[in-house]
Amino acid sequence: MDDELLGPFARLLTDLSPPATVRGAEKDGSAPELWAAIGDSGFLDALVPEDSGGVGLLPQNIASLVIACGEHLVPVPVAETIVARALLARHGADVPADAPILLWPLSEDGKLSSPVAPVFSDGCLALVQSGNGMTLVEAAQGERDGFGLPAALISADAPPLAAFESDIDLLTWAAAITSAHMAGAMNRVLAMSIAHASERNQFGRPLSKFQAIQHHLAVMAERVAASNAAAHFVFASERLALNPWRAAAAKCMVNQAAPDCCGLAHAVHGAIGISEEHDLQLHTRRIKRWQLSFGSEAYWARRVAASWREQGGGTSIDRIRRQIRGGSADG
Amino acid sequence: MPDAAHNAETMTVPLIHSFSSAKLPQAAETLRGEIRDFLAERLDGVSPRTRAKTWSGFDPDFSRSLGARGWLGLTLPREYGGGGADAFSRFVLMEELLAAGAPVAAHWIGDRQSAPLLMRYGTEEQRRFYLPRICAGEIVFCIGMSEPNSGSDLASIRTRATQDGDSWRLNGSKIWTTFGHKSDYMIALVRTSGSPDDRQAGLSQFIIDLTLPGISVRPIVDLCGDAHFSEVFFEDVRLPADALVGEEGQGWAQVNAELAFERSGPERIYSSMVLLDLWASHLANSPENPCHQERLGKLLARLAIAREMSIALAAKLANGESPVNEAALLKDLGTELEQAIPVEIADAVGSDPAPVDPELLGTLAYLMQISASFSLRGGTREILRGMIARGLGLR
Ligand SMILES: Cc1cc2nc3c(=O)[nH]c(=O)nc-3n(C[C@H](O)[C@H](O)[C@H](O)COP(=O)(O)OP(=O)(O)OC[C@H]3O[C@@H](n4cnc5c(N)ncnc54)[C@H](O)[C@@H]3O)c2cc1C
Repeated sequence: MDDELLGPFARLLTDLSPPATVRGAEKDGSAPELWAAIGDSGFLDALVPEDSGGVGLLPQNIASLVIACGEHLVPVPVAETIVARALLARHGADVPADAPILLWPLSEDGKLSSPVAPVFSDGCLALVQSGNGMTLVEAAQGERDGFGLPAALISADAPPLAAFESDIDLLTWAAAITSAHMAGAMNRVLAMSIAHASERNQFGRPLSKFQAIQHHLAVMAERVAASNAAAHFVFASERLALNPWRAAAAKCMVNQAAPDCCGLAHAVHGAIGISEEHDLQLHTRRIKRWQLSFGSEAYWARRVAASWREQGGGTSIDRIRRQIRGGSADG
Repeated sequence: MPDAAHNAETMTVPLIHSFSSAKLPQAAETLRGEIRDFLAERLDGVSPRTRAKTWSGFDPDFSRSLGARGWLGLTLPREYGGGGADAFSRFVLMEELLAAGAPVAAHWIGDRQSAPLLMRYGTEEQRRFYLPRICAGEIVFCIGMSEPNSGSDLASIRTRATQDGDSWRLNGSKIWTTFGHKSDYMIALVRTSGSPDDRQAGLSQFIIDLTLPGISVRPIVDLCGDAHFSEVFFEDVRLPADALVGEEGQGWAQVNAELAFERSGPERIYSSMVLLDLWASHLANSPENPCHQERLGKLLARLAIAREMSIALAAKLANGESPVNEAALLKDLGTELEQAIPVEIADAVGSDPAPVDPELLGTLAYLMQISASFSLRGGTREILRGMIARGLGLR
């Protein structure tokens, strides 16, 4: 099911989310043609049950799709909207026809659980979670942040367009989606690095013939393979509530892998890779911003390690096996 | 737009997509319970410091008890004494043995690579003669690849077997042979024609009965004071015709198949588990220290994903594939984690000047020293990265 879906979706992204579109959206958050096409495709209701008019997929079916969004740096919140629409539908809330929806989990002090805000997208709403309370509000475009991206804003007194209770944790979802986006972007960073090393000549031969460069690319491949495994691992759920431990482990692992991947990619590219004109920086800049989004490796590491302070005993392997069981496809 | 980026648009890297979710089937999980009960009883009272050796814990009696339960040669056909189970069951068995720090050395090599090699390339007589005894834990095998002047460059070996009527005459030596001094048989790669300049051509594999006249073995002591490997000398050793494994001159292809068996197991991520668990249980019984919790969490997250990748590899093996490049990738990633565990724990333990539990300190000291070997044995990190690069289409 996963692969059947992925083909058409990936083609859509290749056609409509090329680097030029990504660059344009970085300025003002607008990619109207892309958003309209995604809306028409029906993918936004992927997780809405069939009897509510959706596609009726499970999280485990959409991992590749979310990874593909990262691969193409899709400048609209596709995965986030898919999750938000599934939640709205489940709680009988009105689903706004065509608005992009950001995920906005608040921490206990009422602030967004992330030092960087979700990136603004034209006309976007935000699904805000505080405890079990969810409200859908309008979001606005804030300043361009330190990464050059338009951060979204919400105001505390924004009138709720919908309100309901749900124990599905948006921070878990946000971390899962961010991990998969990072894995996808890292796929492209690796592919670009291999292509560059094969085409650029120095000392009379392609860079890819130098053992040092081959080893850089091999190490990148390890990081990227592990990140993709992590993305599938966190989405491997048959229920809309993802397993929080899986999300913690995935974001913690992908965040550890990302700096190696980006650093080596820039090493392989040389100076051209840090030029604005080259597409590599589009990906690595975004990956670095995602490292800060919705919990760093240290943040999630504390959650992961908490498994050793829980009852039940056993080895690290026992604890991992126990933690990954709940909510997953393993039943 | 620069060309490279443009080309990357259509490019995919298949190697990195080989590790997406696979699931352990119920049969494998059922086996887990039996193994755990057995290990709980057998390893009761064995100290962590001893269990940490796992790979180099040599206990033939332990191996025979595994054999008696049908847990050696688990994936071999039943008619040769095997268990007829799949790669998932084997994954679970290995996982439990290594997590518990069981002494696996006396059967490890025979079970992991010699038996599958004989199953694939051996004659029917060889299979019937050796396999049931390997599966019973009765005979111990070692690997004769490396020589004093041939390590990574395995094709440059000089040990030579020359045909002598019906039999072969063997001269030369092997080194770093794991438990060569306690093994019954060695499967060796030797030259049978041409010269070292002929490289991969002219190599053959033999199964050598280590009690034959002309063989002497010298154990080599490692930096921790343990003698788990040795140097094996051959002086005019007469090998019978049926010592040849597979075809004469096909040794290179065969040894690569053997290395694929050696590298594709899950064991390459679990060498430091006893230390990790010991430290984690100390933390769990002490006041919470966020710094240590973070270190532990980062390692556990890497472990959880490496385990997923290992299960994905098991799925490929269960499917009859030979995932050589994937195995190289996972081994490099896995040994890096195995080596990071003592580094992180040493920093954590040393961050507090208070005295440390002697058992933890001893286990940590052992792994700080021995872990250098994790990325040497079975092919060095640099050689594996070359294989990954080949898998990426760079060579
Ligand atoms: C604990 C342990 C158990 C072992 N057990 C066995 C056994 O049972 N049987 C057996 O046959 N062997 C065994 N070995 C030997 C092992 O296979 C070799 O150590 C390994 O193949 C490397 O060979 P070497 O030690 O001679 O190092 P070398 O090949 O001399 O390598 C030294 C360094 O140079 C690097 N290097 C070499 N060639 C290249 C290249 N082309 N490009 C880049 N870098 C390169 C290596 O990666 C390494 O970093 C064992 C080793 C250990 C540590």
